[in-house]
Amino acid sequence: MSAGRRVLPAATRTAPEGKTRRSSPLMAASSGYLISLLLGLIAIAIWQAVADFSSLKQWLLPSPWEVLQAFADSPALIMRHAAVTAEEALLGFGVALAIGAALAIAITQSRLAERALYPYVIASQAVPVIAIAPVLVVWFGFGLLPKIVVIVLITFFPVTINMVDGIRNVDPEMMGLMRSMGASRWQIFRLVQLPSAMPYFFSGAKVAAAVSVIGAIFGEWVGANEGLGYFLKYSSAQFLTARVFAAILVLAVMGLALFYAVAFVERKTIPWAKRARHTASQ
Amino acid sequence: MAMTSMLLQAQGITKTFVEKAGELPTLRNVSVHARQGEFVSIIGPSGCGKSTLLSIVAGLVTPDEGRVLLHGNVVTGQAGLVGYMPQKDLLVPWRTVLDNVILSQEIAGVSRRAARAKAMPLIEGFGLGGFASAYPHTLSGGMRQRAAFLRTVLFEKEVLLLDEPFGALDALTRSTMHEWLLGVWNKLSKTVVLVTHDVDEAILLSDRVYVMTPLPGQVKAEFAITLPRPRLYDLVLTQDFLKHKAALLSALRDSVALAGAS
Repeated sequence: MSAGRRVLPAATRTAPEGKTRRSSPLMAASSGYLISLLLGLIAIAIWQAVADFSSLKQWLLPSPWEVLQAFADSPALIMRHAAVTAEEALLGFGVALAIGAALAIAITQSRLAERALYPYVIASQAVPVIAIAPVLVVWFGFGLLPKIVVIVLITFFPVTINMVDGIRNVDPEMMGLMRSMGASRWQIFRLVQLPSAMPYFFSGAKVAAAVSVIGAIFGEWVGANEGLGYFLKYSSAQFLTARVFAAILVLAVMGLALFYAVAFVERKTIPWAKRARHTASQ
Repeated sequence: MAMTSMLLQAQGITKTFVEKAGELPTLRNVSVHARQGEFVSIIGPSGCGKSTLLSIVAGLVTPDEGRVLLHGNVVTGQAGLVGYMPQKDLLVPWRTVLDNVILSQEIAGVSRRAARAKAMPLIEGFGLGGFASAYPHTLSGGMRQRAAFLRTVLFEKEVLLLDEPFGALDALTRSTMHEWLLGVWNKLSKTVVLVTHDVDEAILLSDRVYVMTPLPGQVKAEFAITLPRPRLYDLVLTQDFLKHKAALLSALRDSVALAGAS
C-alpha cells in the first residue's frame, strides 16, 4: 500500500521517440559492427604473422590464407557436409523448441508436472552428452535420429528454463486482475502468461540456436559418415589442420546465421518487447 | 436501511496472514457497506489492510471470518462479480490502448471486433482520444490510469472497487483526475468503493468515508460527506470542505495514536 511505488512523471511519456533518438543508436550500432570487423581483421593479421614467422609446421598452425585455400580447394565437399550438419541442427533446434516450450508450459501450469518433471529437466543437464553419444549411436544407428537426440538434449534446457521464468514472472497483481475479471486459467495463460513469456522464450531460443550447431557436431563426431563433424574428425586425423579450421569457420557462420534468424523472428513477432523494455528502464 | 438499497456489504471481515516471520493480523472485524449508486471511500494510513479488504470484496482473497454480500447474496471468495482496479495500471505492453481496455470483454467471450466497437466511443470521454491505437508506454501516467479505469468500466459491473487509483500520480495530475472522475461518475451511475490515504480525495469524491486504524485494520469512524453535488475541484477551498477535512483528519490522527498506544 505504499504510495509512489512507481512515480510516473506525467508529461515525459507522451512524446514518441524523436528523430535524434532514432538515428543515434543506429550510428552506435553501425560503429559497433565496424569495431567488430576491425577486431576480426586484427586477429587475422596477428594469426597470419605468427603463422608466417614462427617455426610451427602448417599442420600445427595453418595461416588464415592457408585456411582460405583449403576451403577454396574443395568448396563443394565442405558445403555438402555443411548442408548435412545444417539440416540436423535445424531439425534438432525445432524439436528442442517444441519440447522445451511444452515442458515449460506443463511445469508452470501443473504442480504435479512441476514436481514430476522439473528434477529430470535439471538432471538432464548433468548428463555428459559426449559420453552417452556413442551409446545413442548404438541405439538409434548412424542416421539422423541420434544427432537430433543429442541436439535436443543440450538445447531444450535454456528454452525451458527461460520460459518457466517468463511465465512465473507475471505480476501477481496482474493475475489477480485477470481473476477479478472472471478469467479462466486457460484465458489467463493465453492472454497474459504466454505473451509475457515470449521475450524469455526468445532469449532461450537464441542460446539454443547457437548451441544447436555444436550439438550436431557432437552427434556426428561419434558416429556418422557425413556432416561437418565427420569431416572435422577425419581431416584432423589426417593432419589436414587448414581444412579443420575451414570447417570451423563454416560452423561459426552457421551458428551466427541461425542466431540472427531467431533474433529476426523475435523482432517480427514481438515488436512490443523492445519498446516496453526501453521505457521500463526509465 | 432497506435490504434492496444495500448493494454491497462486507460483514465482520477478519483476516490474518500467516507468514514465515509469524502471524500478521491484517483486518479485525471490519464491516462496511455501499448503497446503490453510492460513492464510498475507505481511508487509513499506509499498510492498514485496506487493500486487503478490497481484494476480499473482489473475491480474490478469502477472509478467515466474515462474509461479503452482493444484493443480499453471500458471494464470499467469488471473483468476477465486481469491477476491480488495482493500484498499478497493469496495462500489457503487447496490446494497444484500445485492446487493453477490452480485455474483460474478451474474457467474457465478446469478439474482439464487437468489443472494440463498444469501447471506441468511450475512448474520447476517457481522455484517450487519438490514443486508441497507441501502445501503453507512450502514455502519460494520468492517461494510463484513465485507460485502466476504462478497462474496469468495460467489465460492466454495478460496483467498482478502486484501490488508490491515483496514488502514483503527481499532485497536479491527481487533481485533474479527481475533477474528471467526478464528471464521469455522474454519467456512469456506478457504485464505487475507493481505497485511499488522501483526505482531500476522499472528501471531494465520496458520499461516505470510513476511517481505518493501522494494523490490524479496524473501522474507527464513519463520516457522511454532506457537500452538495455536482462538485467541482474548487470545493476543496470552501469552509464546508475544510470542516469535513478537520473532522476527518482528527479521526485519522486518533486512529493512528490509538494503535500506537495499544
